[in-house]
Amino acid sequence: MRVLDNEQHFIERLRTSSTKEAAFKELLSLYKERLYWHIRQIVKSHDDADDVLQNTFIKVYKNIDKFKGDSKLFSWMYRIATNESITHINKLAKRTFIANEEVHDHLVNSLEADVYFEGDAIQLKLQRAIASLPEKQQLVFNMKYFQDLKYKDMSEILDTSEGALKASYHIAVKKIESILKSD
Amino acid sequence: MKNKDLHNDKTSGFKTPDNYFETFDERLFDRLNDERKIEGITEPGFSVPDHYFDTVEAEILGKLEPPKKTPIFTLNTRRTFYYVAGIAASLILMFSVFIKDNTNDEISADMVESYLETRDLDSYELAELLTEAELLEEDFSVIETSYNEDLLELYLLDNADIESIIE
Repeated sequence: MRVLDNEQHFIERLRTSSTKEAAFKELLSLYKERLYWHIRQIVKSHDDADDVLQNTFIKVYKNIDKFKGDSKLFSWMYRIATNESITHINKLAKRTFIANEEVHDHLVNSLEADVYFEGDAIQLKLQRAIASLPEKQQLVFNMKYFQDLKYKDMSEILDTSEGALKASYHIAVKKIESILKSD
Repeated sequence: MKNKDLHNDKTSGFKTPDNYFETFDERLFDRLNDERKIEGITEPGFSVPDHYFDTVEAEILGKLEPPKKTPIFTLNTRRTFYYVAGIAASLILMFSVFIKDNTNDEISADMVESYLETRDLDSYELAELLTEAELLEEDFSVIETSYNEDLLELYLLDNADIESIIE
């Protein structure tokens, strides 16, 4: 994973008004795709992912002065992206009068008609299986299986111990495999 | 080690962390397990519109507000004065309406009189109600009054009953 060479120096540039814009453009080009896919796997639709990605970067831009530096910059951005995605889903559930537990199923059901979902039948099945997991397990599964993040980084992003994440991932894999086999 | 013994050195000088080989299998299987793909699926199946990642940057940058200069407000303008005066007037009005003091310290003489009449106080209790300042000597001085016996008799006939006269 490509990371910033000198993170402290880069954060200083993001905080200095004369260099802020240039540094922010670098940040955008470095992380926009990675954050997009992270968000997309949570919210499922492209339009929602686009909204959330934009909100995430605007929040990063506005709140860089509040970043304390107790984690890596990218972990902090991932955390914002995760929170924004979950907030987005909860708002959607409220707006459409769907229970929070059922909203993931609803999102996956919409995939069949989504022009930006090109997965085959087995990929759709996998998405349905992921949607049946508890929210935290979904996050862990997507971050490990598709994004191949290290447990150490996931631990910073999700504020959970590495051991608990490993256990959570293995449980998620077992559940998904059994769902796919039973269908 | 002396130079002449170097050719007899069988160790390379490299070391491994403690328990490296004991935990190697476990770590390897963990990794193999993590990298195992379910039904061979490697991608989630999502796609994006053409050129999305080329255009999204400009869209985000367009939504950022330029850094604002901190506005400086002068307090001497007439308008500011009106605002402050308006707020102050509202506060005074609010306090006078909502925090109205319902207690009234002024007690009329009638109220005291009726209190004393209804409470049936004896002379000791009445004395206790008087403050020291009120007990001035001149209040007790005998004032010469002129009355005649006819008037006294008439007063007693009107205001006293026979039992109290006999007592």
